[in-house]
Amino acid sequence: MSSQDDVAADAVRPQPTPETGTLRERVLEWADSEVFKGAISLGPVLLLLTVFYAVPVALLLIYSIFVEDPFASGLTFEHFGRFIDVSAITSLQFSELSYVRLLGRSIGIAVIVTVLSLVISYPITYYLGQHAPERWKIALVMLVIIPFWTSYLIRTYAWIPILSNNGFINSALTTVGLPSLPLLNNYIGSIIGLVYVFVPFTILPLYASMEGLDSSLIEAARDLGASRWEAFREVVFPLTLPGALAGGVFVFIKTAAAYVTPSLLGGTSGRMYAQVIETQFGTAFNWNFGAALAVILVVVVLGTIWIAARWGIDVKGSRGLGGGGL
Amino acid sequence: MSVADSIRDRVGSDSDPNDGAGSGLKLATLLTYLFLYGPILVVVLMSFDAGRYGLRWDFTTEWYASLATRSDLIGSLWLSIQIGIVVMIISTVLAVVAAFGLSRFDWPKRKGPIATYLIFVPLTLPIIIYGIGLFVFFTQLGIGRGFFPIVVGHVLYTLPFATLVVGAGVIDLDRSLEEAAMDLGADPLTTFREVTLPALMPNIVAAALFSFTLSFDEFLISFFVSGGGAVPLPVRIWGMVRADIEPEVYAISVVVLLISIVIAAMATRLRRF
Repeated sequence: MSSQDDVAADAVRPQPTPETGTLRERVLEWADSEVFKGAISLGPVLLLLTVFYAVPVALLLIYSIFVEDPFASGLTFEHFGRFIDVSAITSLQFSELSYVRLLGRSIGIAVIVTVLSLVISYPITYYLGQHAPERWKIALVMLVIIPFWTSYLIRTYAWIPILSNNGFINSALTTVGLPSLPLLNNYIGSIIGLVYVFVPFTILPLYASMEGLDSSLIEAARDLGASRWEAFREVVFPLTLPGALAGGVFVFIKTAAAYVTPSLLGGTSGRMYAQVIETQFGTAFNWNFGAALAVILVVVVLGTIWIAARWGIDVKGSRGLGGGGL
Repeated sequence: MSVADSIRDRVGSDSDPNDGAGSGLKLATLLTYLFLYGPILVVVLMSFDAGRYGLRWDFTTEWYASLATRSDLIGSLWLSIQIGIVVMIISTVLAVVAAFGLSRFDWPKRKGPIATYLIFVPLTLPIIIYGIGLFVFFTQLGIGRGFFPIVVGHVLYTLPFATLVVGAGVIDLDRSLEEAAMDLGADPLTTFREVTLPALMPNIVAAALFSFTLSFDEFLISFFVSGGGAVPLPVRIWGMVRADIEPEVYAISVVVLLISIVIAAMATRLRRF
């Protein structure tokens, strides 16, 4: 509502009765100024965000550029130098670049997880958005949302009895005489777990796009002789792509920074970048190097969002659904 | 396509057998639900299983019985509930205030969007980064790990979600109701208490429930800032899973899942789709 409306409303509004007291009146008058309204409504929240969010994150940035204790030791780029080992690059010893390679693997896993999440999301959202009977729709969408709100830690380790060597899948395989598959403690375990944990982030925005899709467009394509697949490829896919990409970017940035799932299911070949950050703080006690690794991860995440925004992907849209829509 | 078919199309019926959902589509949807719920079902099955992994399944309730003797687990469960309630109250109050701040007032150009972005930054940056930052922050302050750092971390973690849920309600709110109240002589405070707040109540309750369940299930922030006797349940469960020797982990997980599913279901029902 605009301020003109406020003014108009003020003009016709009867004045508060005198017996409400002068303090109350003064408070109301004071509360009417826009500056006060803005300061009182967002002031506490922004202060809290600054002190307890921005400062802790900025602290990592500060740690990353000091030799040891911030401001008590010299400034340095050695921690970033340890990540991007220039001598290893110039001597073409790429196997020495273990941190860069780990980040590369995390990004690779994130790409695979994003693609798989999108592939899984299309059929279910197409069904829910276009074909599900009206009276079941809300219940069916709720069924997608509810697991999302339960502990991802529990939902992740639930895969251990499914994927392990004597787990459900391999027991079933050996029972019918097939060889067992190495599914746990490798990158396959990481990928399966990550898709499972993050697939709702693509399902929900894609569902919103499918729901909003005018079904008469699909009917028109079909009437004009398009096969189901052609109608999907030419009509449904392009029109729902923004929703898919928004969710995809979100899954990508979540996966690239994953810690819990690769720790529980990934073993050595599924080891991911966030795990070495934790190691620096948990066991190696090299906060400065850990902070540098953390800063690099933040740059990757913010860089991804920046590129996505430049491509016109509305990441905020998926957040709306991913957060408030859940 | 027959005339009957096109008429059916025109009246918007979904029952057209030719253009309805193919059986492949239905099967894929069914499999996706199986994928979403299979692992949860596995946890429930394992919690009643006397043996270890595999296809053999012997029913037992001994793990639930032994939960009662695990004072460490019960203590952590109680701590997680306490943290959840404190976080819920702080987060919901702040979310109501912030939602109004973001959507109601005439901001100087550009400052409005900046405020919005600031509030939603915590949704974008990796949680592990925030957890580590908070750990370093409280260590530097000499506060260390414990109840207070966990509450702070969880409030900042839940606030954007809660603000989104309340904010959606503020945007949807029919302002003519408030104007009518004002026209009838109510001052802004009375209008807020008698009209605005009741109309927003479903969103506020949903935001509160979401805040509770997010905090109750939160692991990564707690992982870095818990300690000194304050170990929330997810951190305790993490330890059990890593050790991989305590079969009660499935039973306590079922308790956790039940609590979160009930609360999430209530919250999702309150929210308008």
